[in-house]
Amino acid sequence: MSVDFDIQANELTSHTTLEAKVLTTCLIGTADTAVRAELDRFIKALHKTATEEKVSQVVVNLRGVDLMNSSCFKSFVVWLGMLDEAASDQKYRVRFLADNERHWQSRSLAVLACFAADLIDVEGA
Amino acid sequence: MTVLHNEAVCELTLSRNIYLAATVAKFIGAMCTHVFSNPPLASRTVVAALELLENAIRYSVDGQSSIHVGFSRIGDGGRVVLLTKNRADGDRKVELTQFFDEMSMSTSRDAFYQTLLHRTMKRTEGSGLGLGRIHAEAEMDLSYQFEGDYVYLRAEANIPTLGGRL
Repeated sequence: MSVDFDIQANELTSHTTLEAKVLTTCLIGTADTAVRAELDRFIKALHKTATEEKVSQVVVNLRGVDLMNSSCFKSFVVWLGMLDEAASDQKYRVRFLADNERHWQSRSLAVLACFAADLIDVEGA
Repeated sequence: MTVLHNEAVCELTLSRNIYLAATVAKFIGAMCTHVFSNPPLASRTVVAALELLENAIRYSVDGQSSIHVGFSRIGDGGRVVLLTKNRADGDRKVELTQFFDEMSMSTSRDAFYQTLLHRTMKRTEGSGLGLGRIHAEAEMDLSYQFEGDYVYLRAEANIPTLGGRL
């Protein structure tokens, strides 16, 4: 099942599906100031859907993102911080898919893994 | 500026358009790839360039900002330097001074960055993460200098093996 809150900007797009209690989103493009507000909106909608549908996991595929600035990175930090503080029945795991050739991804995701160690997994490829 | 035979430099001036920052950062990444064969360091430099540029453009009081990219040979290796310049107001200078004071007192790059991550959740304006990201994720040494109302921010790192391109 597709969702109706995907990002469709020139710089960044997302494609999100919900299958068998797993919400999967694939981001492609550049996450910079031009799309910060859109990404904020998107992540809030992603979290809302995840809690309403009581998913077990959200998969965020970042392999197609060539660069992300700190403002967009903040959107992920706020999301994971909020999830960390949520009631246990509102929690789900987040699995990030990274491209090992895009070295910033492994660095940024290692930082997130340290920030929210109990919530996230990082899978390189 | 005098450019030595074992150096390569590039300077770019930008006016106001923050949306150009990512494009310029990627261009700097392409320069890195040309000068040294070290994709992880090139990627770290791109991240640092993006954060420095966005800072310079965002906080410039007259809309003008510039970035200097320099590569120099030191023995078999070298040094990559990013230097941004912009005019800033007094509040920004106070903010920068406080940031660098706090950073200098931290015991580790990662621990300091985790502190910034927890702090950013409560911030309503900006992320406050950009310089910390350069320090921790990009693992570049950061310094600053004021000259009148001009702010200079410098990020630099060693290039372990340079090859023969300088």
